[in-house]
Amino acid sequence: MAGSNHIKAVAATGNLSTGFLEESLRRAVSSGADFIGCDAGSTDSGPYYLGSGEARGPREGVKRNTGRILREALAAGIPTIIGTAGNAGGRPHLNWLLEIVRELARENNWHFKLASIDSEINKETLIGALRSGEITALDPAPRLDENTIRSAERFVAMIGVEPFQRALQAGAQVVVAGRSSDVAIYAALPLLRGIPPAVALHAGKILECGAASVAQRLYPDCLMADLDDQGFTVEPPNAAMQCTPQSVAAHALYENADPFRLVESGGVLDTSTAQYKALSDRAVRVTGSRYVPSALYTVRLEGASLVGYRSIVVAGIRDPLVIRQLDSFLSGLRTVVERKLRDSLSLEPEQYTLNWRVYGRDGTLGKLEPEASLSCHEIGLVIDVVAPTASLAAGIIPIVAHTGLHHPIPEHQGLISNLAFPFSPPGINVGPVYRFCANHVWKLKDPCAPFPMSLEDL
Amino acid sequence: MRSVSDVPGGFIIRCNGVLWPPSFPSRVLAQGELVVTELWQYTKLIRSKNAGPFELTFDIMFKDCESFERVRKSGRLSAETISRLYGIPLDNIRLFVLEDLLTVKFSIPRAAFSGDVDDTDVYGGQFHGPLTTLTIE
Repeated sequence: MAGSNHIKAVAATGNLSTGFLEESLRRAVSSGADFIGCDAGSTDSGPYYLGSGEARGPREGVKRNTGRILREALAAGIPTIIGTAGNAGGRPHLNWLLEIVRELARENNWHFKLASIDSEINKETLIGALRSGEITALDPAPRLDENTIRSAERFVAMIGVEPFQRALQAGAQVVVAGRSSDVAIYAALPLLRGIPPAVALHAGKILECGAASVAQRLYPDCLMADLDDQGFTVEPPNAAMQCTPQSVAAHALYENADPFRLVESGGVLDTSTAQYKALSDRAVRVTGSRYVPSALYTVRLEGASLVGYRSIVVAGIRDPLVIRQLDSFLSGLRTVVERKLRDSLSLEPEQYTLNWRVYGRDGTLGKLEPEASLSCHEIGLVIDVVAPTASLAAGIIPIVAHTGLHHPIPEHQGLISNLAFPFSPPGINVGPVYRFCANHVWKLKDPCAPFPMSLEDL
Repeated sequence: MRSVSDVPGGFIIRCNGVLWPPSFPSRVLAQGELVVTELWQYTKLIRSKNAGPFELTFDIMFKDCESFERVRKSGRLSAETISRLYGIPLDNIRLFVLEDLLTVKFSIPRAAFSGDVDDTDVYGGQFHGPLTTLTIE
């Protein structure tokens, strides 16, 4: 069944900040693993981390998990490959995780060659690439021009397999990288050892979420795959979990817009012809996917820009008369608020955004909400203000809250209080707000060029 | 949608979704009324999720072949239905039927990019809500 050339890949967990059982990792490594991989990031939690440069912790948890991975890998003499450091993979995120790795080495008296791969792209480099026509928008994409590049906070490009391979060939025992293709973390070493791309990439796709492709994930944990020339066998090292043909195949659905086509830097993995066969009640053999190399080598670009600073008010509305005329109540309130902000803070409506988030109507689905009618007895209102500075946002909020509190309706004569504030003070200053400002690809002649590598002996 | 209980034929369905009859109740009753079921009664999972910050993807995984066929034959779960339900153009919907997995999947562009000023759901995990109670006749 398995060809003579084979390699065993272990995913420690789906995200470095979530846990795994030490026992599962130990069992996977002792069964003959060739390397341990782990993805440490995602765009899923929004643009805040890329924009702010803040890593997503908790630091103690990430340090504990990294330490457990390094202990097993160093003892077994196999490489560790970690991608998308600090959740967003920018330079501050990479440095944050590198510092954790150095700290662990010092504290445990571990010695190894550490490679770091930087994926943050300088704005001038990006502007040069844009001018040379090397940047192409995906669909849908925000508009990206020289001005938006200059005003953005940070850009990263997505590391493919080649920079990882360069680090491994340079003798790195531990590779920590910025923004990485999840699949590349797991495909780099198998490809170096001659595993066919269709097998390496498909296995990488299944491994990247750790134990997510088991039938019933009891808790975050490890997953292992044995790759050869024909296909791969995937199995959880934890005896309490099972992979089934359906659970492995279904993983191609998760967070993928297209379940059959996976676009990577150098080509496209087509899983529509893949076959999934149970080898036991816990292991699944996957064969038959195809790889189509692309004519151009491209990397994805991600960017975040600062939109402003947010302050909010949470308020309940229980008066049925207000709820019945909520639209006119809120539009009337907006008119009064705009006038007051013009008078007191010299602010024009174009200088800030004022959003009503109406829970009980369309607060969750926004424009996609099909239920037009309002049929509940209370409303949860979030008044959402985004302004150019934190102090302006904080200054606007009390004006909106107080105006809303006493905004009149025709049925009640005399001073009324329409908003129930659960907190004192009613306003909350949330902080900076970012937006994803790029969904583009960058054509590269050299897959390693934008990704400088540093080596250090710890 | 009306609530039906103790209908002739011995099965019970409550439209708020607490009870689920052992066989499919959707059939014409003696009085000529059609009993209506909801999509969740045929599925083991209905979910929405980000597919990157710019797209949403929906997975509808059916319980068994019979459920899958029943919904397929109803013709209710289609790109047209999704277009009407969410108010998005047909051209923006990519629909996939994965028969081996008894799954229907579709993907759409986000109305607001994840985490943008006017976004309502950063992870995109609640957009499937209206689909769960889609009526199947």
